[in-house]
Amino acid sequence: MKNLNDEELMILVSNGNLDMMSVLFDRYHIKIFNFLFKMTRDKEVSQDITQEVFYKAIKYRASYKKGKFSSWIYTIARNIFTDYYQRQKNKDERFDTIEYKIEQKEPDQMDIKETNEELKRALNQLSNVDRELVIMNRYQGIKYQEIAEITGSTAGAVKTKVHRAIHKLKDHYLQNI
Amino acid sequence: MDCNHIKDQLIDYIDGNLDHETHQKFDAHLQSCKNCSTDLQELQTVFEAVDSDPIQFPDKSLQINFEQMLAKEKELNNDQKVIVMNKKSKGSWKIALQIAATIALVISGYFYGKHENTTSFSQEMAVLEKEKKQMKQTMTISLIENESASKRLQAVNYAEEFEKPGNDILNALINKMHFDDHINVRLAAAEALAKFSDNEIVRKALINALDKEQDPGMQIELIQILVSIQEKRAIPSMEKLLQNEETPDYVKDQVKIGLPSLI
Repeated sequence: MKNLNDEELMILVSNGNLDMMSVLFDRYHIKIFNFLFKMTRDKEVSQDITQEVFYKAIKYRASYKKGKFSSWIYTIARNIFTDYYQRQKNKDERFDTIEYKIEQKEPDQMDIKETNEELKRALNQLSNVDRELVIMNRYQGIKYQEIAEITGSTAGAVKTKVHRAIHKLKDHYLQNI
Repeated sequence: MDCNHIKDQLIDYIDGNLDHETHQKFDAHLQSCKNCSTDLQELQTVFEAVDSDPIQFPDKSLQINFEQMLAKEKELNNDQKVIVMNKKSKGSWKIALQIAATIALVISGYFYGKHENTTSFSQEMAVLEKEKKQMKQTMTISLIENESASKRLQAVNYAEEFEKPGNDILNALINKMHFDDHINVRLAAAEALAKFSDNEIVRKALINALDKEQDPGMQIELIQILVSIQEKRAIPSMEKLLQNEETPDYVKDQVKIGLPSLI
């Protein structure tokens, strides 16, 4: 079973062999977690969302249509993250205390190994869209074509946007040093 | 190759996405252009920082929670399979249709069998009836030649029962009427033949018999039969009987009664 590729495994899952999902979980959960962690900077939230990603992958296994599995699972991750982000934004509007909470949270994150604070700050200075593109392309190593599939765009447009985002990151980073 | 062009493709240059020729042109330009080589260094610094960013690992709880969730979903999946089965039974009209089809099949089978039975039964009856007739005919013919007068009489009575007797039966009866030694057999044969008077052979035989018959009882019987079947060809025979002195008076009386209705 370990010899099967992602797509073959997912077809088995969608046909009701749910055990195969644990193989896909082993292959993807760290990547998905890191993607979310870079986006949210919150370990707890990233773990919860990662959990939800695989829950939804099982729930909506029938909707998997033989495309690239990684594109499909990242699409799910992005959707859940967007929902989460929207909820957070609504919460922020309702509670002014959120700023205080974030500041309170900062020291908790210190235990996570972050060799490069400047890079972290530079990433946070990017817009959500730019940050996501940089993370997917430079951190996750996802090709332009696949990012286009995930975000519903074309490879050419994605490449241009990614390059622009990288230059922005570079500028922020160099200012921070 | 201008610097703007280089800047646009610097990331592709670092990633090694350029073809060999373009790559060499970049190498040449970067060696000579300080501005562009600075840009390259800056980008490389960022990429190095990104690449050296350590991978984060989630808590063990993520794996455990996933396994629990998977187990729950598997259970649900099995339950759903049961539900799906139940849903199938919801299409009970299908079963109803199957039952209806079965009933229809049984009923049609019953009627078909019944019909088939009656036809074969009536066929059997017809065959039996035919066999019975043939038996009777054979019996009649064989009995009619019997030595015993009573048996011959019985045979003549049998022959009378036939609706459409064959020529062999009629010939046997005519023969009996003409030549049987016993008056009762001759009488019975004449009586039987009267029933088949539609047949020309029978009519001629009856006329012939009146011509030849000496027994007064038989003569009276024949006169009655010929009058009742309105056989005009018998008139000469009857007139002959009137002229014959040997003819008993009561026979002549019978002719006198019958003749007017024929003429």
